[in-house]
Amino acid sequence: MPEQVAAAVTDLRKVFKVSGQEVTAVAGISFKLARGESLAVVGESGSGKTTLARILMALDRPTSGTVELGGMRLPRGRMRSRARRRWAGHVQMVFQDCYSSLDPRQTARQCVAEALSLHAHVARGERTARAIELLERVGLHIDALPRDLSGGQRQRVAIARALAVAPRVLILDEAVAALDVSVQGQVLNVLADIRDETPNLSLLFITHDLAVVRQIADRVLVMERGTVVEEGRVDDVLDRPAHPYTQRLRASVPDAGWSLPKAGPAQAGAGNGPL
Amino acid sequence: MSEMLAIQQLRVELPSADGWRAVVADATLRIGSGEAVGLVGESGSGKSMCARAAMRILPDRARVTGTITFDGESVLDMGARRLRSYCGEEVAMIFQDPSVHLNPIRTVGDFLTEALRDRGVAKHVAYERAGSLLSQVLIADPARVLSSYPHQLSGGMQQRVMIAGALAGEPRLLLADEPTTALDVTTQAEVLAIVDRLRRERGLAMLFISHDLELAAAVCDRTVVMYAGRTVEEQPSTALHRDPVHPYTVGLLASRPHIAARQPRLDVLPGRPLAAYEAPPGCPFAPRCAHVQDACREQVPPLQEFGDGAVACRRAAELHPSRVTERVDA
Amino acid sequence: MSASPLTAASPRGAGVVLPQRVRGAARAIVARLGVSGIAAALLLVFLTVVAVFAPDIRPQDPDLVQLGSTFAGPSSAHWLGTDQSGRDVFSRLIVGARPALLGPLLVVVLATVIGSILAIASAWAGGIIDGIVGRTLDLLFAFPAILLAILAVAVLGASLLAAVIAVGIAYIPYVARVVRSEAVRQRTLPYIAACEAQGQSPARICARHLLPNLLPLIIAQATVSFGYAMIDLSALSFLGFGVQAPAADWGEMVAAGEPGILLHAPVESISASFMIVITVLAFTVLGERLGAPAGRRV
Repeated sequence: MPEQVAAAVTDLRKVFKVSGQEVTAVAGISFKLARGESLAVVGESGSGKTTLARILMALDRPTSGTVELGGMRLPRGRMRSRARRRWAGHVQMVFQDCYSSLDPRQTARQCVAEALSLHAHVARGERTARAIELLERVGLHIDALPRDLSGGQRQRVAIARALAVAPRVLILDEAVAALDVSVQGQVLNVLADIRDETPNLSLLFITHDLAVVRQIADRVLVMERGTVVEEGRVDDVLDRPAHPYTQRLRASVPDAGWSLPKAGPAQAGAGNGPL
Repeated sequence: MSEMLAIQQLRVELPSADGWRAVVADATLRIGSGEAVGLVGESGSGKSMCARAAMRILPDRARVTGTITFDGESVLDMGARRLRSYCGEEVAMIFQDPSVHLNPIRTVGDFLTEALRDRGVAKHVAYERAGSLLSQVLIADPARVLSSYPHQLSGGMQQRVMIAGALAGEPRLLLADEPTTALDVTTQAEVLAIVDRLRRERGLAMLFISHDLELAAAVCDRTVVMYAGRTVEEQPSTALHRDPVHPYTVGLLASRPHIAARQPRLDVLPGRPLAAYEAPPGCPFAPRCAHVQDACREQVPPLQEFGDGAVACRRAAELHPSRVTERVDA
Repeated sequence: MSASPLTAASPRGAGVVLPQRVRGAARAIVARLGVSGIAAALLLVFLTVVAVFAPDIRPQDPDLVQLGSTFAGPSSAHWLGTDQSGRDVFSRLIVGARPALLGPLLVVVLATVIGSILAIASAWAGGIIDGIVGRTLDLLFAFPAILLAILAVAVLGASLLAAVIAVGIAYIPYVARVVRSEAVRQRTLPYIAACEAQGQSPARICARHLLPNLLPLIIAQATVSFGYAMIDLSALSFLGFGVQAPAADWGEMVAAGEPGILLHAPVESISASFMIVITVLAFTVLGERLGAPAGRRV
């Protein structure tokens, strides 16, 4: 795999069995993530974007297709402990739920120090100092348990923890969606700073918020019901959307001079998407 | 336009381990008949509590002071029987997550006809009316939906059902508490379009609560901004969006990314939004304000009217001289 | 707001300097336990001290048989009178505290350790293993402690050890059921997925993340179980399956004092029963206070 590509996904499929029925969450998608690139994956519920993230994090296995990252390929079956840890050193994730993505019994420093102990080969005595350094880099200057931190502060800890292992790819799964508007901006700025400081780090940003996509991404993949319906550079896709779904998505976002679309009958929707 | 709902200096306190905690410190709000007003704020702003106070659905142990009047009648003093007719027929509320507000073991038909049958309307008549309500929220197959259970419907459909339920009593005011936050973006626009159309057809007034300033501005005629349990600004929506006056509103708009273009860096507010009980003495926004002065920390600035809006900022006239001229407090 | 990592405070009063932390912890404990919890804790501490120093503080020889003064009422010589062999009841009560407290302690340790390990492993593994463990525990549920005790006695002979093993095994499914359901819930939370995503081994995650978060529940459960174990062990002693005469034990004393009731000398049975009741009550109250959620969770 050429050095310029951080991750490559080929023909990925994931089928779940939900109460006897087969549900296809991801239906054969392929894309490449370049080194230092920021790729946004946009979709609504049922699009398969979260399943994609979980597969990339090796939290789920694909039904078919390949995922290559950092010179390793994701195996079809169980992953051995050592391989699992090596994969974790290449790709890390920041979750949406800032309230329960941190161990409630660990302080911010302990959390980051633990990540360091697993991957970074930092001597024990230096771990605390390095953890403090990482936390300050994301703008957190106090040490406390998660319950004493605000949502924005918790997400900063999650980002610091993810960066502690110095991954090649950082996945952010709706990482700012649950935050207050004024705090979202702070975290987006942190991410922009990190991109400037580590130009080799690739970001995979999963979101439904098109304004965030414009702000933070270079390229965007639009997913609907498990397939990629449109792909391209952010400015192209957002300014001149080609696929009807992308157009609908773009038209649904309030903007200067935006007015409500005409009221129409309910779009066909079968139950609440399980994904 | 006559005034329908008026909230004046509302204060709501909840008991806690450390004594009484204010979740709404001082809210002031007016809705005229047929008017759509947006109520915008982040977590801790107290916006939801205001609406709940207007429907008297606060927790039992809450302590409420201030006035809330509907058509001149005091809501806080209503007796049980009057409250029931008020809640069913004059004001209705729709909530954020439709799936938890619909009983999962009853069909949609049961849900919609319950109130009517309770009042003695015959079953087949009630079902007919329910079917027509569903058509009004543009559900194509009312008969099928009436016999469906909530989990068989998508989020957007469930919210349409909730809206139909809210409209069953033919209210004059609709309180919508983040009705589209839990829905997908495309569904959001559809649901809002329906609400908007129904509103105009029936001359319904609406209070639209949201954390999304742009969405509220697009949907409502006027927008009220709350911070830490207080009303801090109120303006016609387009004016608010184009030319916000209160430093908080300015900061809020500046910290949002724009869909139209990337900004080199977002102009963010430091710190995080506070709840009413966490706010320091004086102006609650003082700790985060770029224009703060000593006087701001000593006394809470009153809500002052200007032009066709109002703002609670000591320095408003100074910072926006063309819009806000010094006026005697109303 | 620039500050060093240790001393800066967020609006909710987070990171604090060390001495304050100790004071804060003490205040938190007091708030958590409440008046009843503190009273219970003090009582248990007192009883533990009594049990530990029993041989030194008992006024008389608990085994001294004086057949001339059996079932004597309270007097200055014998504060709580004598039992059917003329032994001093008060001294036997003090000395009896040892097996009375030791027995339940062993039961709780046995059941909690084995039950928790089974529960966590089963919750983590899920699938078939969880099913097998579940069915095995259901089987154990079906056996009343008494039956297991008879079995144990048949194998090991009547003694405190037999009773402890029987009751301990009988309690495993209770502990396991409660711990497993919470473990299953915690397992689904994102922070566990984050640990997996870091490449931590399942054993490490269970030991260093899952277990500490289950500890409050496990401890509260164990404390309440202490009380129940005490009742069950006393019952077994009463029936003759536990501590054997002439050793002093509260349950055994309740049984041995029966003839005294008819002879208008009920002090032995009553005082022994009283000790059992207040000890169980203290454990139950303490366990409930420890398990009570501490105020509103943010």
